[in-house]
Amino acid sequence: MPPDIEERTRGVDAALDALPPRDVDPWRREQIRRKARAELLRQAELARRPWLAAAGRLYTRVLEPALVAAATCAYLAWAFQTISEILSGPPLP
Amino acid sequence: MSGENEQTGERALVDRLKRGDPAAFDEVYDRYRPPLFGFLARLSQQRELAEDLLQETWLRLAANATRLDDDTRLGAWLFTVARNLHRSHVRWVVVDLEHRRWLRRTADEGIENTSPFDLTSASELERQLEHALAVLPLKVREAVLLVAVERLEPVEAARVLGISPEALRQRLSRGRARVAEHLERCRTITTKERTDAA
Repeated sequence: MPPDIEERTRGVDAALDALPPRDVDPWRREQIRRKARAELLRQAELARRPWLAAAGRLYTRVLEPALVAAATCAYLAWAFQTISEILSGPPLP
Repeated sequence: MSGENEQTGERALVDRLKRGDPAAFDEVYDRYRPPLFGFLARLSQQRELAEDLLQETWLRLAANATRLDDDTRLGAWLFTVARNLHRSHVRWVVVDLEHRRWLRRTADEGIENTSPFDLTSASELERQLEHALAVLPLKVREAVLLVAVERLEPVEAARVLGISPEALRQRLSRGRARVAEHLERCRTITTKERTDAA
């Protein structure tokens, strides 16, 4: 590397290194800490009780979608039946 | 030797984190929060966005703490997550044309315009440096911020960015040259202004 470029690079590095650190304001800092700590404790609890994690996964991946699908199907069946009864019945006065 | 001690200390910290020790989390949080926030703030140039990404980064660490590898380098892990979150944001966000125009305008006009970050900077040199960083292309800015500002080892920085050490060296060299050019231009403008005033 030519000496002038090397010197310039060193100067830029020194200046960049001296840039003051930045931080979030104390209120936000504590808010993030609280949220993350709560998540950490939740994960640690799940890791201690694997069956709880498995139950959670079973609920979110199988039970909940199945419940939503069943409710949707029941509603659609009721709606189609009602509409067909209305359409096939005697005309309204 | 100190490097070895540091590595052992970090392993112990990772081990405590894996067990869900809140004190270990606080230690990591206090050590890496300022450099992470500095990186995100200078990368995104938006304080609120940087705060949101910072929060998401720490939530990711908390959510994955129990599954960390024993030899995880926490600094590199956190910077990688933060950088990936920022990239996802950039990829999906509607392009803010005004912001782009502002960047182009300020790049052309030198030191005349100041961003909110610039305004809070103490010295003129700091202002110029912040500005020089703000107008760097994103890929180059990431490299300069990680190595020159946050003092990550080049090997770790290359891993964070997912590039080879040689590619990192090129980006750094390009970044330093641009920053130096920017500072030189600012100096010329200031000298000319002083001469005109005299």
